[in-house]
Amino acid sequence: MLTISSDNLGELVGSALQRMAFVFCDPADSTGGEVLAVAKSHAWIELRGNPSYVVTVSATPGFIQEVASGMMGCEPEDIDVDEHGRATVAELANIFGGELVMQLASQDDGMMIGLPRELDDEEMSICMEAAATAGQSTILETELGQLMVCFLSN
Amino acid sequence: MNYRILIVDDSPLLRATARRAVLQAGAAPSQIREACNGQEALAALREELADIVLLDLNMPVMDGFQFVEEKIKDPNLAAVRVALVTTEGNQKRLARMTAMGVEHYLRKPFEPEELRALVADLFGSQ
Repeated sequence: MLTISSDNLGELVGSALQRMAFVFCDPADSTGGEVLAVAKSHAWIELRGNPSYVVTVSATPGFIQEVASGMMGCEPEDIDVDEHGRATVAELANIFGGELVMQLASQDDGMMIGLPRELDDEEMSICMEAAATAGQSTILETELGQLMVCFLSN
Repeated sequence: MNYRILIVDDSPLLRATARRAVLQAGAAPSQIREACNGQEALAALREELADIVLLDLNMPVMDGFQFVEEKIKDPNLAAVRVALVTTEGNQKRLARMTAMGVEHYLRKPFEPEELRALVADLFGSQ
């Protein structure tokens, strides 16, 4: 079983994005607050087990366009963030959550992933602060935008 | 190709991704339908059968496990083949699906080519 750090969380997220959407990310120097100031959509998903965890995903409009276009096979400017933003971060939460369950749980473990749900700005801010004190987070960027993923105990 | 496909996923993004892969594998656009959960999928199949269902497991209302349990109770749906496209990686839960007749499995995150290949394989073995 893997202990989740900021570094391996970033690697796991980057690898998943590369596979699903051909999006190549680099670690960003931005703070979580800077990402949240621009981020358009946030989502949360629970990893239910003993112990349980939460994964949150927050993405800027440019990042949403890059991921959604990579998955749907179109150009980033073809993606309407108002239409696709929530679904994109929700699916990212689902995918990253699934990857983390694979890392955290043994095959005999009953850990299961919940359903993603949308977070508002205030809820996302609370999760980000909680991850800063008792969890892990990673901020990745592409040419078009930024993504923040937080991992914390539930 | 004249296969009827039903894509079952609560994520519109994944449904769009899957639709693209199915089209690239040679399906006709008119033969592809979508459902947001297991309950909608059962209703869609009872209205018009599909040859292949691409099924997510983690969905609201009725999840993929419940869908497969309901499907095998209905003899009219016996010929419908199911392929899982899911974040689920637990071998025990996947074995339960295999025991209920689910033959194919692709774990998210997948490369688009892997999904296209899965669909092409399903078409080829139909």
